[in-house]
This record gives sequence, structure tokens and C-alpha cells, in this order.
Amino acid sequence: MTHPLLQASNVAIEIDGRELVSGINLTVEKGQALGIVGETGSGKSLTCRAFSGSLASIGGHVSRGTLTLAGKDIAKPGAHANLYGRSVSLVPQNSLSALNPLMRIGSHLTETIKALDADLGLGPKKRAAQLLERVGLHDPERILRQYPHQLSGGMRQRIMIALAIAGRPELLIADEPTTALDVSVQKEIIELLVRLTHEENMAMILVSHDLGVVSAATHSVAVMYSGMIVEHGPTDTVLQNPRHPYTKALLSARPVMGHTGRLVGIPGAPASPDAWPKGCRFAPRCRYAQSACNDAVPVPVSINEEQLVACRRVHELATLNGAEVR
Amino acid sequence: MMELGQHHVPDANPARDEIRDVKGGLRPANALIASEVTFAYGSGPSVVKNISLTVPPGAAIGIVGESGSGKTTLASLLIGMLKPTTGTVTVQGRPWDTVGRRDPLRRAVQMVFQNPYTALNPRLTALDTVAEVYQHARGAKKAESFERARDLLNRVGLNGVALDKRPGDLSGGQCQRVGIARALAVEPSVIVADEPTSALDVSVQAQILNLLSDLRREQGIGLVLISHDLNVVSYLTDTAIVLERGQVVEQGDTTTLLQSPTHPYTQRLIASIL
Repeated sequence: MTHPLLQASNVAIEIDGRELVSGINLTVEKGQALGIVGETGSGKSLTCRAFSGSLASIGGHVSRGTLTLAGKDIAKPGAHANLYGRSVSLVPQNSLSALNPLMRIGSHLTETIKALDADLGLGPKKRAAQLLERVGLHDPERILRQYPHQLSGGMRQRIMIALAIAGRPELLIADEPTTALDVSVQKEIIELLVRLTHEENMAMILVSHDLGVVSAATHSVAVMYSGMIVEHGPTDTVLQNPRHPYTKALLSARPVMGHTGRLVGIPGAPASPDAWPKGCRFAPRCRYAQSACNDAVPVPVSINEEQLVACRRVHELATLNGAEVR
Repeated sequence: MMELGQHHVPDANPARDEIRDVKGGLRPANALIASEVTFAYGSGPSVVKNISLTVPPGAAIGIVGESGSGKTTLASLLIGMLKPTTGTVTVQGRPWDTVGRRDPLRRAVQMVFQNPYTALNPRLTALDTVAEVYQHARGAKKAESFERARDLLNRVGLNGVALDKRPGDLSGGQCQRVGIARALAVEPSVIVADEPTSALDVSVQAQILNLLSDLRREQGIGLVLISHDLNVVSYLTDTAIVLERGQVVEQGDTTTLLQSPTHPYTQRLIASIL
């Protein structure tokens, strides 16, 4: 029986006894790219930490559900011990400051290659140079001798990606990999990630608050709000025909070149986990909310074969004019 | 009207000689003028080269370019924090270097910063932050300062318990609103906003962009918007300049510039939008 590369079924994540993420149902197949979008505090990074096994370092754990990577249970603490770097790897948020400023680039790479026993018979130094070539950094001999501060932001991000793929992982998780980068460098990094997933036959999870980035690089997308997935489906379908009011609002709030008229912001801000409402967590900010939306957390419903939406009014809203959707 | 180098951009809204501020006082038009400004850090190379621009009341000028293009240095020159190596920046007709630290004219140009958390004093509540600036700038009594600070915070969309919270207890968008209210407390002619929404979520970004747009239209405040996000520049500004390594490579009406860029650098920036 073949398993999906990553399968999360009803996963919940707790930190200090508080459930901050719940109801995560996601599947990632080999060669596929999944985008996770949402605002600050929506649980994107926690979800990725669960997938990459780095929840324990912030005092968190998977409290419910099942989580498997290539058929192996990775929900329990310590389950990633021999998997991290080899089966799953993470390009973390703020990775531009993740390199040790006192270590040369060569040392960063050879240390990782040795730890993962991943020199592919080339020896650590040659493999390090090969990795730099793989991430589009030419003149690897010079770069291996340099310190992080001698490299631009885009080059440092390429080094982080080289470190992440050193152990030839099956799943690469990139958490906001382009947030601090210029627009032209952002495009280059996204193109690099897409190319590498093809060439290395990896799957990718790309976390971003930027819908443009997700649209360019992923096959499917999960939209998160306050610790839950509110919409999930093929990227083109979700972004072109969003069905959850939050996804619609996110798209309307985004300035797009050439569009005139006032932006429609989402009033207020997401509530803190202590103040999450009993029912739909987006209801306090939702223009379509009714009193019944406050009764219970909506169960995701399949509105066609591929799109899941957690809104109790989704069928009703489909008949309304979608003028607010760009 | 915006002057750039030797060029002039067609003027859709001719500047008047004076504008009326919210308290009924008159302020000169074209509050901020940079003339052939060049700047180098120490004996290093020039990082801003021969830039001229004029900010009329209510105008919004976008400055775009990548990291290292000189955007933030130009902002520092515009607010008088840095002194040009050559050229001048004048505020309401007076060069910055003739405006003393305590001169009321210092307040005519205010800055809104990229990181709303680090731009605020973590120990002060939203209300204290704005009241302190108002009291200091106007020599007003404490009660009046708090009353006016409350008005200003309401104006930028902060109400209720949020007024008594410190930056650590406010969201990024709320902090940025406090930063904008603080800038407004001294009734500036021009606000220079350096990447004001790049640290904010999309939904909050829209609220702040709409707020800046309203301030500009309703109060005639000139806006210099520094951003690497061409979508944001497209939404908020009438004219734009594109900087590459400290030099203006293209300038003009924002819509035209973004729809039909002529310089290869601008074309590359636009082609990079995902």
C-alpha cells in the first residue's frame, strides 16, 4: 500500500496546555507543493513545526490526531530524531539571521553534511561546493571561504536552502522564505525552490502571507485563520474562486497594480487564543456573519470534489454577487 | 508638481501658495523641496545622487527601489536627520540646516517607520505616547494634551481599551496607527512613510493604506511613501520615482510608469512581481 508523503489527520497542537492549532487535515504527495497562507498568529508556523519535528523546542506537542511522514508516525516527541534533514527539512522564518556570523559558509555546509552523513561519496568539501551550485551560487570556492555578513540577503537565503537540501529530504518546508527580500530576489528564490522540488523530486510546503508567492509556486493551498484551516483546495481554484469569506476578504484587501478604487480591509484584528469565540473564529470580523455562526465551530464541507470550506453559510453565499472578489 | 533632476512631471493639481491646516492656520504650499541633493556616508561613494523633488500639499510621491538603492537615506535627508553633502532640502522655504532642534518648523515633516513595534516607547501607553508629543510640541496643559491625543487616536481608528495599552499588548497594525497619530500630533505638512506596511498582514495593510490615503485627501498632508512593494505604490501615490544605486532612473505619473516602464531596471522590478 502506498502512503502519501505527509498525512495529517485531525491534528491539534498544544503549547502550555493551550490548544493553539486544531483540525489540521492535509495531505502532501511527492512532487507536489502545498501553500499555507494566513495572518500572523494563524498557526502556520506551528503547523510547520509539527511537520518538521521542532515543536518540542518551544514547549509544544501534537495533542490529537495522527501525523505520518512516508508512513511513519511523526506525532510523538522525538519521532523526528533520524528523519530531520533526511526526510524532512525546514527553511525557517528569519533565516537571514540563522547563520552563525563567526562561521564561514564552508563550515556551515560541511558540518551539516557530516552530521547527516550526506557527502554522496564526494567528501564534505566537494559536496558543499556542489550544493552551492545547485542553489545557483557560482564561484563556490570563494563563497565557501566567506562569512555570512559578506553575502547579500538573497545569497544567504540560498545558503539556507543549500543547508536544507544537504540531506536530500523528501519534504522541504519553507516558512516565509522571501519575506525580508527584495521583489526581484524574491522571484529568484521562489523559482529556485520550484526548480529544486522538480530536480530533487521533493515535495514542498511553502508558508507565506503573500498570496502572489503562493500562487506562483504551489499546486494546492490551505488558508488558515486563528489556528484552523478555513479553506483548502487547488491553488488556482481557491485564489480565483474563493468560497470562504476570509479568503475572499484577504484577496480584496490586497492592492493589485492597475486596480483602482478603495481597498476593502478586514475590520479589527484576529483575536488572541484566550479570546477565541466559541463558534466560527472569523465571525467577529466577517461581513456575512449571522448569530448562528457563533454557536459552533463550522465543520469543513466539500463544495466540489476538491475544495473544502469551513463556513456554515458557504452554499448560501455562493448565490450572492461575488463583486467583492477580485 | 514634482521636480526630478532636470525634468518636470505634468502638474495635475497646481499648488496653491498657501494651505489651511486643521486649526485654520495657513501653511505654505510645497512644504518640502529637495534640490539636487547628493549624499555620501563619510568619505564613501555617494549613495544618493543629484535628486530633486517637490512635495506639494496633498500630493503622494512613491519612492521605489531595491535594498541599497538609497531609499531610506533619501528619507533621512528629507526629514533633516542627515545633511546633504551637496544640494539642499528646504522645509517651508528654509533649508534644514537653518532650522534648530527646538524650532517649531522641525515638526513640519514627520516620519512613520517600518517597524511599528520598535518605533514606540515600550513603556508608554498609546494615549501617553501621543499626549506626550502633543504636550511637548504645543506646550499644552496635560488635560488638553490627553483630550487631543484621544481625538487623534480616534481619528486613526483606535478606541476604547486599546488607548491604555502599551506596544507589547497592541497588534502591529494598532502600533502603526499609534505611530501615525503621534506624527499627526504636531500637525505636519508632510509625512515620510518608510515601508509603513511591510511588517503588517494583508488585511491590516489595507486599513493603514486607506488611513494614509484619507489623511492626504482630507487634511492636505503631503506623503512621501518609500516602498519596495509596487502594488502599494500603485495604490497610494500619484507620482513615483525609481531609484537604482542612489540615482533616479525613471520618474513620472505612477500609473503610466508602472504600466509602461521605459527603463530596464523598472521593467525588471515590475516583471518580478509574483
